[in-house]
Amino acid sequence: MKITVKAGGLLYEYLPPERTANRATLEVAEAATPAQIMRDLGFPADASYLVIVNGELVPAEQRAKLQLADGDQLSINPPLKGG
Amino acid sequence: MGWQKQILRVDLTNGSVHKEPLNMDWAQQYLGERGLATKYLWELMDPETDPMSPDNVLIFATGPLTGTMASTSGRYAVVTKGPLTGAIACSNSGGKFGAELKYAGYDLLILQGKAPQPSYLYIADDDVQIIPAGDLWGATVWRTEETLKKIHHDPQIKVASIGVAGEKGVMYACVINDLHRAAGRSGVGTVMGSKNLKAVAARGTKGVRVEDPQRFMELVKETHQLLKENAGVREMTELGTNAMIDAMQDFGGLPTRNFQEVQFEGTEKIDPAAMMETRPNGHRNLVTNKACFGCTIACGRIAHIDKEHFTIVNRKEYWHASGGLEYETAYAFGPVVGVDDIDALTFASFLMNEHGMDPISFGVTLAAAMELYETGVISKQDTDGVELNFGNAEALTVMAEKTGKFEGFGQVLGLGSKRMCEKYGHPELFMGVKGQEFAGYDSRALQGMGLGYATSNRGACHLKHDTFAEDMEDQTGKGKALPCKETQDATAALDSTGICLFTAGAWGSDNLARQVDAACEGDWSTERFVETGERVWTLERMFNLKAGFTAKDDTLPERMLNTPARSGTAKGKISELDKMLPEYYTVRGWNQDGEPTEQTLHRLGL
Ligand code: SF4
Repeated sequence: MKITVKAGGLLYEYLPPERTANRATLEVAEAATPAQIMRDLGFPADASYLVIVNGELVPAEQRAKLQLADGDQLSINPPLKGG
Repeated sequence: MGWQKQILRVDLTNGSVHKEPLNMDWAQQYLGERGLATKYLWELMDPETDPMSPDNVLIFATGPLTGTMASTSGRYAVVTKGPLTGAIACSNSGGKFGAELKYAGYDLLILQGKAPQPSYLYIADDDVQIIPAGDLWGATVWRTEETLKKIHHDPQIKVASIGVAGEKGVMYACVINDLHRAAGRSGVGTVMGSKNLKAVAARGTKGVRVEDPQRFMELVKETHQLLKENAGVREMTELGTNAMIDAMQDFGGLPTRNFQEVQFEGTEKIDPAAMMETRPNGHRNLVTNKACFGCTIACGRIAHIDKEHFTIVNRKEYWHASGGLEYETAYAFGPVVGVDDIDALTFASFLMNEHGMDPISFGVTLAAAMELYETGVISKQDTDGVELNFGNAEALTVMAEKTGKFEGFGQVLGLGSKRMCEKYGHPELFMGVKGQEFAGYDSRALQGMGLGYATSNRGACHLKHDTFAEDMEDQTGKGKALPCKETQDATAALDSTGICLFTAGAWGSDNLARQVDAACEGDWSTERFVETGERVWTLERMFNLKAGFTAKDDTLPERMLNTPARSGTAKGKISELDKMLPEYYTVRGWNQDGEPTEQTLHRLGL
């Protein structure tokens, strides 16, 4: 199945080379979870992220459980901070 | 050491200048910068004083680490009673001015009274003079700085000054130093203007001594390394604080069109990628990044505007590069007013620096005026013929300039959103707390932020606590009170050192306490350091209570409390302030009227 990934800030560096700016369309296994996808893309496991799927917040403990479906939009951002 | 152990006290009314020893008992209790200035303010003025009267006290304060080898050590704070809020105001700034003031030999500069004529203060080490401002009164910040360097034949002078906005009483005028660094919030520049003081020009050659140079240098090396290795810091260097705008958009916490919405369709036109994109005509908004004194992060953005853009096509004086978009300016000239024209946003940023105004307060006030216009409360007759619709880039830049020059409808915008909305009979459209406008985070999506806004001592502020991690994980009011309180204290301690808040992602209070301990006498454990922050926070609260604020003022606008967010991850949610606030008072050791108990005051030595 195909999903769209958007990676905020400098996290676009973890997207495959065929990315467009900070977005990429990925072919992933059926029912893949955000945690699996992030691990496969090489996102450091010890860092903190803001993960949103189709506009819904996915807290850290849900990321290895939530199964994605074809056409889902996964947005991975660095943690929110002030500026 | 760390401290210069000397303060400079200037009575502008009678022109007297006194150098006094720093009260070291207070320095041991309040450290420096924000904390120490709060203590002096508390001792020197009645909190009920009219902020615009000569009896208000204006303090420029450095910290014990200001001007040292510690990274980001250029900070100074301006502390006074704020005219925008009527509460204690504490705005800090980077650039190079703070270190220069310290090198001249002073921890604090205390300004009292009102000069009989427009003046500026010249400080070159021990030589301190109050000099008539002449035709600098009426000049922009940029011309003031350039002229003062010429008059004194010294390009190394560092200048902190106000523009016409500060002279004429725009309620959110800033003090700007080094052309585009601002002690930005609550109208500290307005107080400076009310004292007939145009600028402080400082030149210092004395350096700063630390208690244990070898240990201090080892810690400096270690903490520089922590910054270097931190992913968030690297992002700040490469993308600036505006890196946050895409995440805030996805999250649905990006206040749009005066907080009617929480997501902005034009975000991608004003984000860091847009700033770095090379256009077909070869123009690129971002020129480079820039660091404040001693900073190894360099989050500052230097940008320029496309010469063909309507704002500057015939105005060569704006063809140079200057301070570009940060997250808060991008928000305040973008989503909250519905504008997505990056050149117009950049021009508005230039105008804020040139005329000395707080972009957040200006943008949010303009947003309320736009809502008043779109709902028919005001019309073109009120707005000098300008169509004040959301999204109108020309309205943004025209009104920024009118406000900076205090002309026409700009005088109304210069009141700030609260006073303006009250003037037109719609106080509910003011988006802020205690008279100060919100920063770029919506309290319905970020619950802890809402609590921080409601309880911040200087009115709505995003820089005095840090509950982002909690807000990202859970969008209810649960578990927000304690981290809000703890980070308020830790931030108050950090703000009392002379170090920039943007180190906080990489350094904890322990890293700061160790640097303070090596630089200063006295044993500065982490616990003592953080307790100092709590003492500072509590004294600020005492100032506000004495000024007439009560628990009723620790609140949010109806829109946050009753109108659910329309979209984003917090769709359907309202602020749960009613649940968080009682818990917050409890963890603070305050009663339910928001007053510190005797026990708490005693514990903190207050
Ligand atoms: S991090 Fe940014 S604001 Fe802070 S001192 Fe460095 S350049 Fe200045």
